[in-house]
Amino acid sequence: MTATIELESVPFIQKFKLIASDNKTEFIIDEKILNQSAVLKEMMEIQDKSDTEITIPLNQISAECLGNVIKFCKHYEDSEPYLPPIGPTACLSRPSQSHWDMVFLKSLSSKQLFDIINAANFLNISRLIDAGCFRLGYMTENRTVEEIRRIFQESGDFSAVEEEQIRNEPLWN
Amino acid sequence: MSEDNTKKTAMESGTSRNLQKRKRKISENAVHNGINSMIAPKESKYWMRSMKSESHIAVPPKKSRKQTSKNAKQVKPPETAMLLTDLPNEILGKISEYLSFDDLFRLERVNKRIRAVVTSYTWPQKHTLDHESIIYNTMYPKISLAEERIYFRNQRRNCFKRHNVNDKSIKMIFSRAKIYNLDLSIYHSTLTYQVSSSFSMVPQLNVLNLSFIRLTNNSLRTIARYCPLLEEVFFEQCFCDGKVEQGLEVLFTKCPNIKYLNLAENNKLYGDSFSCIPSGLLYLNLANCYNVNANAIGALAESAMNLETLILENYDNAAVANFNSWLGKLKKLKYLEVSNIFMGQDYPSLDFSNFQELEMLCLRYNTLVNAVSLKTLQHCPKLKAIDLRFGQQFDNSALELLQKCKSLQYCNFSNWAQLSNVVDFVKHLKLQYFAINECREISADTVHKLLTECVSLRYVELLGLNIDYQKVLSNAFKQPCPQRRNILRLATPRANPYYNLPSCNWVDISTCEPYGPTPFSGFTSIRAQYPHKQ
Repeated sequence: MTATIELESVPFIQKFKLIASDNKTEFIIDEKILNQSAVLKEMMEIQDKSDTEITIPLNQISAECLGNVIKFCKHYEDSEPYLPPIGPTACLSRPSQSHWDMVFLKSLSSKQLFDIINAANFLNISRLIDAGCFRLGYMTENRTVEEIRRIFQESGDFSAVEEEQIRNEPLWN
Repeated sequence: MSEDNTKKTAMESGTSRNLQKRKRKISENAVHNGINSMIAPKESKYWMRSMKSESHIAVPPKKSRKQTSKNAKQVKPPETAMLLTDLPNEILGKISEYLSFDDLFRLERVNKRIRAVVTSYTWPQKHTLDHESIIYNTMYPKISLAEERIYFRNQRRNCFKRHNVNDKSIKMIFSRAKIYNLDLSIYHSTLTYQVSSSFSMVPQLNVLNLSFIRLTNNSLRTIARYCPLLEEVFFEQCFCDGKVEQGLEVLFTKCPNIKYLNLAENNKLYGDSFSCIPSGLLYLNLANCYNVNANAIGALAESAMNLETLILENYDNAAVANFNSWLGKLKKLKYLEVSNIFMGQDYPSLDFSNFQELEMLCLRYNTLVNAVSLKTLQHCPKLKAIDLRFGQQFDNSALELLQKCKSLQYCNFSNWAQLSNVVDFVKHLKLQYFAINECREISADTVHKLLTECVSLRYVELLGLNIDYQKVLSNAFKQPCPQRRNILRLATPRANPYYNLPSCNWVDISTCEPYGPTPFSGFTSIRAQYPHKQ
């Protein structure tokens, strides 16, 4: 008797199963997390929702990276929809370094960070894209050209003449 | 915190001679803890790292480049492949969007692809060039010009390191970004009048602030020629080397959209060009331009019919009759300041009867105002605030005249020699702000009534009165005040030991030094509303 009452009171929750690129790792998430990704949200709108569990294969995203993405989205599952900073003061209203986002991204290795940004871009999770950009911004700011090249393993592809020319451009410091 | 870190960083990075030197300089810097705590980000690890990279704060620039590349090797070991250029363009654009000009210049030197993204996407989005946009996420202290002056006064000159922004760097920014708002006043020490030669690259310029940079006739002509869309112009203390009337004349005729014009502190300004001032002018600041001819202001009153704000401070070239004839023409004035004027009292009085729109009037230290002028104020139906500080010529009878200005809400009667009974005045007008600092005649009884009976008051300044504060305040705060809707904010002198007052839920006391700034000045707050911007 009591068991049936419980069953009725529990609302119908749509579950989604995400499968990473190794075809083994599965993540089961609910709608709140899924809706943060504009791509998946749009995809599910045209999907038949009669099943309690829908399987979505994500061949481009590795298991580790997908886990990180879901960890990030889980943290924001109950918060307001994300609005990117706009207007003339947008550049001043980014999160501080002690913000949860920045601490989370700081804990990742640079390979993981790079993957998570690409994945966020692929799934179109605007909050994560912005957070990743802020993090990369923090990594580049206050550094000299050589340091930036070193951190990001960039090679300067300017010819010697151009390099000289750039070096001679008047800068203020 | 910062001092420890700087020592650590210096220790870690070796013992060569340069570094020793740098270590000393950094720790010298760290002495100014006030500033350093402003610059230092809270994450100490980050702070250490950036302290190394930003060695140009402490050492000359040429050495810093070699130094930092060496340090980078120690600090940041190469990690697994992570190429900025593997990221899509829109992400690269987004990263650079939130960087300051300083960081952008360094980022765009990394390689060709990044340079292409930054020049084609990021720079065109930047429209404002000022101190903030250059430094906001760098190590430089975020100090405004006003703050800098305070630090200078306190002999703490070493605290502000600034970018050496010169005429060439301005040119470089102009060639990349589409600047609408330009504020270079903070770089006045490194810029010269030659900065105007690059203005041909910013024909869309809207707001221009070149305060404290010395300008010449030619530079004004260049600005006028290339920037016809100017609306707000700030030339504070710009004309110190000689007459610039011809240049100003060209500027006024070629830029007909100028609405805000700040020419304060220019003692070489004579005003011959004022007849060309655009008729759309709304705001004009002539504070301390004491050499402007009386005729020039006459011409100004003719041409700038729509003026809403006029600030004339320390100006004694004209007689009262002149003042009256100009003021009669400026019928749309909302804010008028005629302050610091000391002249004999055998002149006729100032006449304010023409101002139908006047909202705020500042007549501090003005000996030209007398009882007759106050009487004319009843013709100003919108008058909201009046500042009559140092009105030595007034007494209690002036209050009766002011009582007829029904819309008054803010009054400052500080330093009146004869002022005793103000309670009825405050009650009658239901004032919100009332300041009677240094009014020696005010009695303890009056203050008691002011605090307990005048329930409309929200801000009261009572500095330097001839009363026993402890006794008066504790008496006043004993009873609750049920009719009062707002909390009363009260400024009193600093007491030692601190007042021992009964707890009271309707008052909020802040103490201040006798001649220092008061914690809330009703006048500065409303003055900030002028000019009204649409």
